[in-house]
Amino acid sequence: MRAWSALLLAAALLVGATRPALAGFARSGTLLLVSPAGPYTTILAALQAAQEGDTIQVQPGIYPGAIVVDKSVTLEGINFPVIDGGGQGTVVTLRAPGIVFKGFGVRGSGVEPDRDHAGVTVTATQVTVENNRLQDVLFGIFVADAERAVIRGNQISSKVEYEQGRKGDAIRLWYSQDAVVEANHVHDARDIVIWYSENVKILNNTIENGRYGVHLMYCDGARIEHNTLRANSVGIYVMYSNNVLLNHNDIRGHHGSSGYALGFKDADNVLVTGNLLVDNHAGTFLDGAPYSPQGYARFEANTLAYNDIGVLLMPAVKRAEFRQNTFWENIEQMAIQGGGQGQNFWSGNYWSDYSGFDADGDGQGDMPYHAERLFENLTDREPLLQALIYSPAAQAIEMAAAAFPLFRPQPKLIDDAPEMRPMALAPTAVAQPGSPVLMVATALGFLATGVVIGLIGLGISRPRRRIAAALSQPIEET
Amino acid sequence: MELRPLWTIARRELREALHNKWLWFFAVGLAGLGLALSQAGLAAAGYAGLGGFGRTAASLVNALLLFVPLIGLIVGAGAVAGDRERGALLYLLAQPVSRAEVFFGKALGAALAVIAALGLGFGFAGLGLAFSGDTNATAYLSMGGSVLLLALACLGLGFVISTITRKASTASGAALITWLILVFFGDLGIVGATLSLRPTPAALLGMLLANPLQAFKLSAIYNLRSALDILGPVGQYAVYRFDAALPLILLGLLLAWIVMTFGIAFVLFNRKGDL
Repeated sequence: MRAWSALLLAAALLVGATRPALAGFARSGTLLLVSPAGPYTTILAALQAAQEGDTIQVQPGIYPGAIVVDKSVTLEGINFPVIDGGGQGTVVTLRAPGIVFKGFGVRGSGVEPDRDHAGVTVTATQVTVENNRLQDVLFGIFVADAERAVIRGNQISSKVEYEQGRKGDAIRLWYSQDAVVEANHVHDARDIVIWYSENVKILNNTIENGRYGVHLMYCDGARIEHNTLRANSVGIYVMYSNNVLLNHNDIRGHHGSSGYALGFKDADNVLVTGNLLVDNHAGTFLDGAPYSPQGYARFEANTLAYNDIGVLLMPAVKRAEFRQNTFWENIEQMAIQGGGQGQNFWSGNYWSDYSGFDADGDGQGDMPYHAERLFENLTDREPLLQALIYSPAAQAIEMAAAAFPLFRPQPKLIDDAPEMRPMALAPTAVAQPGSPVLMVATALGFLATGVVIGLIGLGISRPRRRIAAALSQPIEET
Repeated sequence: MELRPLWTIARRELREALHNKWLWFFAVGLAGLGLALSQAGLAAAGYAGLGGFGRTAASLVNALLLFVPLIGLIVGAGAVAGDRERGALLYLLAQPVSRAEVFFGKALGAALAVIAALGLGFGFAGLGLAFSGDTNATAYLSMGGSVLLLALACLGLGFVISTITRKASTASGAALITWLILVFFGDLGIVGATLSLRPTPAALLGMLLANPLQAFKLSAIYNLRSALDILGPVGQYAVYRFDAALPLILLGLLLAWIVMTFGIAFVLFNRKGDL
């Protein structure tokens, strides 16, 4: 009890200590109005007149960039006034602590990638960039050396005319710890990439048609949760980062040779739970995770379905742990690049190709699940052979291996307690293309074709004619 | 070449083929395969609404690969050799019809018979799919189209076999051996060649596409998945190299097989003194 009250007291003190500091930035100022009709007709004029803590409200209109904000003010767009950089440099630069920048349309940045031409560049602490619409900018939001930034609810796309690699990053964080990237909708840009930034939270974002959906480089303590990723080149790639949490992300449609829904390179203490990894080239790719002998990489209660490969491992990966995951209809449930057996831990996963039984009714198969397909072992070693996957020749090789244990390969993995049922999962609505009427019509079209031809062949014009007679008179009709 | 005698011969050929119980066996088999496919789709939809191209679908595409060529080959192999053995061909050619009319009449009739079997099989399977919630009519239609092309290419191959053999039983045997090579030994050879020669993806793609079945397989998977990652480096290379033209190239290949095989069969049929 005493401990609790001490904690509460400490918390109250903390709140008390931080609040005045924040209030100094954002509250209690005067309101400055910008609109084409005045009182201020440009944002720059209002900025010059503003004091720290003032709010500048901007009415709809098109305002020229570039805008540099070096006072701690709130900039609030009403109905998305547009700031147009005219294709030069960075459009909006926020470089005083505590700036709030929300409700704007930002467009027309420069195009020099080595000068980081962006829609919005943030270089001060505790800046909030919220509910803006960025388009036709090279980089979207670039946060450099700025702690505790909040990037929330923005819509971001890059220059449409460039191919993927030439585009800029939708969101780039550089040495900016404790940032929150939340509920943004990013599409047709390059990456969301986080460099050297600790304790970043990436939550509830939707990321489509980019290169790396989310790319962490040296970012310890990151949390990546409840994001939706569709059809990027790579989903979420974690590199050289420890203590990373990935929960409940929904990642689909990443194809191509590096179409990994999740990828890990030299990462320790990784916890991956409840993610939905569907229809990708590989559900999860591990290369050096866990990295150090005392580190861990845990994958629990994830769903890996309809991927070309469920889990793809580099041969050196050891001690990765897979528990209670559902492996559903992946073409290859697990593969080791280059072949080999792996020394990882698998337990209590559901395998859609498990063919055992559960006589004692404890919900787990009585025989271990073995991934030991000879042809898969061949394809792991010689990927070119994937061209023949599931062909009769491949299946014959498989049958030969089963019939003659001499050829039976070493299992790639053994799950001692495979689940008999897939994990309960809330149904996701999948829009079916096309309409049932059209499908029935197509089927009936096929049927009708068959029937009409059949009737012609069987002689619809002379139904009573004996078939035998017809056969004995090859060309009776000429 | 006149249309009337050609059509008459075609109808006769069609009637004969329809009395071949193999054809109906194939139609039923196709329908059963399609229903199995729809059941697999149903099972997929049963898991949290997730659908996709999985192991089951991959196996079924390959099952289709077993069935369809057999239809074409068997029907084609029976078309000329049987008539020749019975003497009916001699009788036909004694009539005031040209060899071209006889040949293309037969080809048309046999093709119609194959189309009928495919239509019935695909029709029933399609109804099954529609009622199990798969409503992608466009994909189904193009799948049906490429299956048709594959069947016709194999029919052409059957005709070639049929024109160079004298007995119906020889033709059937040769057709079965050809089928085995196409579906099995060819692939097995490619497995061996890949392991020993380690070809480039381009070379392996070339080797694969020499087989019309593989052209169909690539086209079918691309149709279902709009990617060929599942086929490994070869598939990725094919998509990278040919991009949006890939489905057209694959269909073109199948069409080329049809034209080529029927062309060769016609040239062989047209030789004098082969009766």
